[in-house]
Amino acid sequence: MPGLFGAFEIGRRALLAGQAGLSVTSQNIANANTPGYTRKIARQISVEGARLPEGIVGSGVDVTRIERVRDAFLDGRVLGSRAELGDARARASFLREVEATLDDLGDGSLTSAVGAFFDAWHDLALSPESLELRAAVRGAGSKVASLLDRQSEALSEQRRRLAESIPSDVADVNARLGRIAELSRRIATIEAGGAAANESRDERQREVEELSEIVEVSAAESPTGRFLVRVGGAIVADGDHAIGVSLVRIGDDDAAGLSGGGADEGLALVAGSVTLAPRAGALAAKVDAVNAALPSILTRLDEIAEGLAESVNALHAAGTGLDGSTGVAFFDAGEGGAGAAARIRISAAVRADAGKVAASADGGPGDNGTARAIADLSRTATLRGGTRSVGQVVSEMSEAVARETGDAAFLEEARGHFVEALENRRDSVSGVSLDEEAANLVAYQHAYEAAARVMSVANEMIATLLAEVR
Amino acid sequence: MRITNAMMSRNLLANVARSTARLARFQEQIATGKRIARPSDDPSATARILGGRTRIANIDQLLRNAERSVSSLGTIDSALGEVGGILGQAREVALLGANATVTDQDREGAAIQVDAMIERLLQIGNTFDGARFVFGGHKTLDAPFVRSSGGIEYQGDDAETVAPVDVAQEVPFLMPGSRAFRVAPATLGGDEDLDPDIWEFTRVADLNRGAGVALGPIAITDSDGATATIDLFGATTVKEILDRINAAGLSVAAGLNAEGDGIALANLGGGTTISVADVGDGIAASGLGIRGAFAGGVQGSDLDAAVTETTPLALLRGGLGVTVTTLSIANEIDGERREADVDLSFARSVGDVLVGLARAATPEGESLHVEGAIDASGSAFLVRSSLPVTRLTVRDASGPIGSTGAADLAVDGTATQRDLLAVLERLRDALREDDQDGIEEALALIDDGLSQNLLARAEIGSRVERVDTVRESLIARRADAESALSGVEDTDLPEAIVRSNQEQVAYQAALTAASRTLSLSLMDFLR
Repeated sequence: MPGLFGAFEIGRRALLAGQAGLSVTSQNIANANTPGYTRKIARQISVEGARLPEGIVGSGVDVTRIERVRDAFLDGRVLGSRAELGDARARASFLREVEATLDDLGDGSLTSAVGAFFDAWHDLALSPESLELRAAVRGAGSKVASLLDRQSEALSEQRRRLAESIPSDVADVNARLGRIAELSRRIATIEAGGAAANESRDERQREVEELSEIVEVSAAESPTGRFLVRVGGAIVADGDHAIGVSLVRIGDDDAAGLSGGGADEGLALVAGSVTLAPRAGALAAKVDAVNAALPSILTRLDEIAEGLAESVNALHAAGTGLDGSTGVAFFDAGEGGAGAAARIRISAAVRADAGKVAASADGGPGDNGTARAIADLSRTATLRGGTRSVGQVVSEMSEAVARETGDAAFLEEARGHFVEALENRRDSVSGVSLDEEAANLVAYQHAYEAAARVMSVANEMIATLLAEVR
Repeated sequence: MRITNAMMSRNLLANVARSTARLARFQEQIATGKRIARPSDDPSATARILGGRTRIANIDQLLRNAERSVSSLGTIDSALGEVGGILGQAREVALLGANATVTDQDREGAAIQVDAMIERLLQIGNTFDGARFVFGGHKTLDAPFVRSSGGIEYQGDDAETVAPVDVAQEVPFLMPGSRAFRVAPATLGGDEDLDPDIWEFTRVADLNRGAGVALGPIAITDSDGATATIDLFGATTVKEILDRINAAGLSVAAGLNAEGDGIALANLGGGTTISVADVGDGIAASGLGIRGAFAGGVQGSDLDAAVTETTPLALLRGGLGVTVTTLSIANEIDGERREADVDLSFARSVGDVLVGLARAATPEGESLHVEGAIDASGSAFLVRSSLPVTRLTVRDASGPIGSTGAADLAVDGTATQRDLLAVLERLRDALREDDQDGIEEALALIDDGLSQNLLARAEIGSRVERVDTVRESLIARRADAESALSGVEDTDLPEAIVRSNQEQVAYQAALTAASRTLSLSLMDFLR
């Protein structure tokens, strides 16, 4: 529609485009701090016009659609790295607790208790007829036993608490999957009308990302447009249908939950009938802690308790106590094996009478052969088929826990940085820059003013024309 | 790159948080003095810290062991010193008692003195250090020296108690009374002269009970009147002496005398008299017992050879020889009786017997702990226990082939070990009974006791020295371990403070810069 009325029409469209731009800009400014918000831009095109003798003049501007500015590649990267961050965070958290329980650098560490125990035997060797030093040996042994008991009890307790906290995480996962399915449904409804459901998509992306921190998921739209959320390959949300995740116990006959501390019992995540194997995420780390990490430390403590009891008892039973008794065990660790650390204590005979502590190898009260031999256990390799001393196994455990905790803490920080860097990169694309929006605001304002000016000029021209005609 | 407001505030927060974390870490390091607070702060340092602490704790324990060993060795040493003093007094008393002019009253007074010494020795022997009787061996809970009807008996055992003072190094820190108060181990024989004959290979140095003979030139005039000067200097065996005489071209034949204990020169010439003389200042001829003029041939006197390891058994007892086949030996060690029939039928020389005795073991393979020896005079053979606190019995085994070796060697019988208390009791009784032989015997035993006492004290001294050496090395190693640990564990304060200050400056700068830039907005400038 060329001519003056054409100019009117172009002006009208420009005014509308300016209003639309202003709306988008104000929405961007309003949501500058909304988590997961993607900045929008109003896509403008110039509209084809009528053919004039001079050529074709466009017939103004049109806002075709409001677009989210996103980089799908970065979205995928963020999903994976947030899962790894959640994983490292959970791992570091429970390992720090283990570290605090073992307190290896503190005065109450197992290393120092074991050292003090063997020192007490040294002292007894120097005065093998002393009853007081026997009581001291018994006291030092009892300290080692109760420390082993306390540490293994604390670790079992930690494992129980972790196991108890997992169902609420699973509930959280399912709630998020439900919201994702609901959002998928809403998006489908909105987009059936042809418009892009931008805000719901932002919201769904945010939910998926937060979910990934708990359990690593991959999310993609199928060729048919269904939004699929997968955990380790298995589908847990299919479009508007949330399949959900559930928790099953394996090998545990105690309803109160994982009391045995055995390595053969634990937890597994399933979706329907499929067992899930999430690669990362806080939930995956917790399940791993319950199933493997904590039991392996408990097993070390059991090994120490059993090895200490066996090697001390073997020498002790061959020695003679102050009262001439022989064949007396010093420690009582039950039948050994799993749970030995929780059971180890001073044997009933020695508890009742410190005189039963054997220092003598030849039966004479002045002999210290047995005391020396037991004191030597601090160096002698009697554990792991005669390749490690008790102290070495203790310090290997300490070092392993320290190393794992240190690694987890390092990963937590490193992955935190990585996620931060990724989010910065994504913000660089999708985030709202207030300066930019301010500049847009001014641009749209000027465009609006100019378009209004076009209208008024066209109006004057038409008035001039009508006056001549009258 | 587009920078958005969210990015700026996120980066600011992250940087500030990191900066505060670093600041907090430095503050903690400075406040605690420790470089790492948790094992995970530095896992490899943790391993080194734990290792270092264990090492230091071990060294501290060994140092405590060493100190206690030295103190208990000190107790023993002063007790032994007192014993030495008492023995010195006992010796004087015995010397006095041995004087024939001393009256009975004086001797009774001396006996009372000796009784007091016995009492004091008994007290020392039963020294109780607050925890144990230090001279009881392993039987430290009962007094080791006990009066019984037969005199004072040692009821401790013979075991040493050792203290670990370093890795694989143990030092005995007590001494059993059987050793500290020992005079001599249970010994049989040693008093009968076995009087060996000489033979060709008897060494010149073993003649005259081991005193030897000073060899030099001798002059022999044979019965034909021919004289030759023969230089015997440098001859080491009897055979060489005989060979040199025989090679002189005289009408004499040198050989062994009829008793087999000296040299003989047979007359091969026409005359009757052979004379032998020393040349110059030499004493070889007289030393060999052949000086002088002899009618019909020279029969030298007994050269009195010493018993040595190489002496053939057949030459002993003036050539009668000794028949050693099987000896029946029992050694009660600490009340445990070990006995065996020891087959010595292979023995041809005294040395063979020594070897056989040293190897003597029960059928179960436990050593009998006996040893043979030649006594100090070089004339007698003895068998003794190589451990104290024993009762040793040696006799000839009965059997189809009779052995007379034990009797022949004069080592048959039973002997128990003698300790100082028994010796002093012997001296007291001898004084009371005016038994001069007894006093002499006791005197000799006291001298033995004094030398054993010196040996024991020297041993204690060397143990203390050993502990001191170990202690010095422990202290040095402790210092090394301490500084290594400190290097790993302790905060380098100057560095931590400097870095903490740097961090504070960086923190402030970050905050200042952020407050400037974050408050900037285009909105402020668009009017």
